[in-house]
Amino acid sequence: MKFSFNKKDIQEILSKIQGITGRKTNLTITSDILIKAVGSQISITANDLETVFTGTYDAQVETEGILSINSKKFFEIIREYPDNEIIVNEVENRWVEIGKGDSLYHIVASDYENFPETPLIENIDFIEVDAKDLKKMVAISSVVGFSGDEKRIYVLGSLIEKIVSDGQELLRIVSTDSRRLHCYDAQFKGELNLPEESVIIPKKGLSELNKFIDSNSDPIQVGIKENYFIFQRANESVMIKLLDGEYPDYKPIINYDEMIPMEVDRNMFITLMRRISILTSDDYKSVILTFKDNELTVTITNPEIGESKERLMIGFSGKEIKSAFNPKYFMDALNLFEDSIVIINVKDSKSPCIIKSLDDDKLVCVIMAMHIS
Amino acid sequence: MILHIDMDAFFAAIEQRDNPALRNKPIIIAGDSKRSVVSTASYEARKFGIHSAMPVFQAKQRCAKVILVPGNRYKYAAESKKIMAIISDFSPLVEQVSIDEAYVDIQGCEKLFGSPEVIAQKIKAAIFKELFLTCSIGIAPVKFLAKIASDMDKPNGITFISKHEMARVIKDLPIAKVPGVGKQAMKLMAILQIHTLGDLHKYDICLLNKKFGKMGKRLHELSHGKDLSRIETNYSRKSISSETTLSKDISDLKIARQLLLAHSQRVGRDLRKEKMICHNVSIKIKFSDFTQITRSKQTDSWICSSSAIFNEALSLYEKVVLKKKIRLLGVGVSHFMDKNAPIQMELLCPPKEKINKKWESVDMAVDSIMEKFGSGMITKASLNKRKKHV
Repeated sequence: MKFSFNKKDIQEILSKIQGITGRKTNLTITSDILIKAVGSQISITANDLETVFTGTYDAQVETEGILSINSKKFFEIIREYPDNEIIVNEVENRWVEIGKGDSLYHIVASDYENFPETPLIENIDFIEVDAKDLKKMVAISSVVGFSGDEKRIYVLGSLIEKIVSDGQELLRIVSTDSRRLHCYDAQFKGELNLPEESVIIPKKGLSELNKFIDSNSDPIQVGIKENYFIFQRANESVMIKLLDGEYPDYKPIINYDEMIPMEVDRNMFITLMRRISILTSDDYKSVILTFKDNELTVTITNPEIGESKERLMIGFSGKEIKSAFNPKYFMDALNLFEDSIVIINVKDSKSPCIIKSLDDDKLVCVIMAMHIS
Repeated sequence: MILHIDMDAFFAAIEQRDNPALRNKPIIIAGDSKRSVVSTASYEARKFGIHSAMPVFQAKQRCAKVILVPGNRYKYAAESKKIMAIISDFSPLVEQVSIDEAYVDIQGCEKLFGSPEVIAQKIKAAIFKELFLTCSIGIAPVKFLAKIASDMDKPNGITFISKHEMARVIKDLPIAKVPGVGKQAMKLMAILQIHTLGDLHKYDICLLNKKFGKMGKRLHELSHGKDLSRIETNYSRKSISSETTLSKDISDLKIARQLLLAHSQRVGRDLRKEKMICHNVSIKIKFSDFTQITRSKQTDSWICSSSAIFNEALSLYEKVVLKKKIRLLGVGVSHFMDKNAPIQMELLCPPKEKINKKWESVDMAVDSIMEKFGSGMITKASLNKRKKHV
């Protein structure tokens, strides 16, 4: 096969798929990309057996063909290539020539027959989601991370389900690491048919998706079919294989009915938490929040470093509440909001703190307390 | 000045004190199986060349008349506590390093009690008066020399290395006596023609670093009479473990399970006594051919119940491919945290953890029963028949 393309058309996308091809899997070929040259276009596919990206781009195809080539090396060559027009030519079996004239590269390609099959999913009922909302959903999912040896499906993945609120159908994402839980509802257009009541999407795949969403772009088409979460935009699509497992019943967790609500200035609260967390260390992550007579006092005592105390006026009356938290979780959660005022709900030292907007329940963040004796 | 106090034949001395029939006789403290090793030998037994860690059968070969006394670690621990209390009367800076050894920093105490030698005499006298036990004390300006000094005049002696004598002592100190220099290091020492600590002066610090790694720097410092290690008063345990050499080699999973359970119980009990929770469980297996392996794993959450420790230990054990019979089996825990330190609670509590929490309260109840009525009063049902194996 032989084709040429414009560097600027391809370079960015090659950069975006490095996350997919960079992931270690059981197959070495997942670090390759599959390039198909047909008609006047080339299609590029990356597949880490969980997330599949496919995109088609204009190119000048001289002879049609198919090629599996190392993603990282191909990207680096393209990125550094001095000219705008780049020629790719399979000179003989799997011996690929890139460039011409003064800069000439030869790369050994893999046998494309071994490249994992791209799932062929047709007749997808897409719904439309605002790019901004989708971006937020991804942020909700990825802010609550997981460690390398995590095995719990509900921590590895985020839940997506359809809910009905005030007669309106909404797309909900829930993400947790069992210490905190974030829940976000997005509007959508179209008809959503989930294979089950809810699905679990791997956080890893969703964070890869983030690179393909441009907040300012038009609404994005999203569908769920045949065990894949499918994202489509113009000439590009990303398919993320769903996780199979149980998601715990999270609804009682986000219920703040019997809690005491308080308004706080979001920015002030974030900066307070940032300051107080200066004195945290690996062994001492907790700060103590004391709510008492219109005042919130946040203190930390770290025997390794020292102690500090911060005070904030707050609308609170009633019996004193003293509760310990990890301040990082507050910063993570508060950064997801855009409102200047948020509501924090507390109950007692054994209950979580629930943060939500002043006006609605679009975004609800639950942070579990730490146990103090 | 640093004092290193080392009790003389600690376990044996206690037994001889408590049982006049054993006095002035060669005795050894050891398990009753013929495969046990000597944990302490009385000075009478040492004359026959019997020493700690020697297999019992060998000890018996050396001296047929040797009396074997089964140990009682609770009794020794109680005595140890009393000794530490006596030492603490002389200085607040006491670092207990083992059941029968402690370092004391007596800086600033001279005005109260007298010169270092006088203080050492007073400590010896106090221990002897109250507990009828003797000890050997080494006095030196630095920790490692104090330890070496205490070994120079044993039993019941005092050795004083003054600041001026340090250089001379270091010059002639056999390198094998330096703490931390083991078999591997000795091989290198022989190649480098290092026989005494003073010989290290021949070599540049860079070379020592290269040859001995981290140890190189420390050896260099020691050879110049510098010991940066301080007296660590709030001594906290970094790991707790329990192990037994079996009376005969085993390969049966059922017996191994019971042993793991017994050790998990013991380790768990010690852990809870220290008011700690742990994040790492390990097992140690020594095979019939004396090769030894350890396996450890991080636990999903902080634990302190014996059954949680047992479950982790068992899963580690089940992953080991056994090709040889087992001679020794042990369970250990490490990576501790204060039980009362704040712990992140879970929003979604996995069922396993709820069970762990329940076992924790069961274990605490069992602990307090043992505390009050003795350790034999209550045990796991499956361990009731265990005695014949251990």
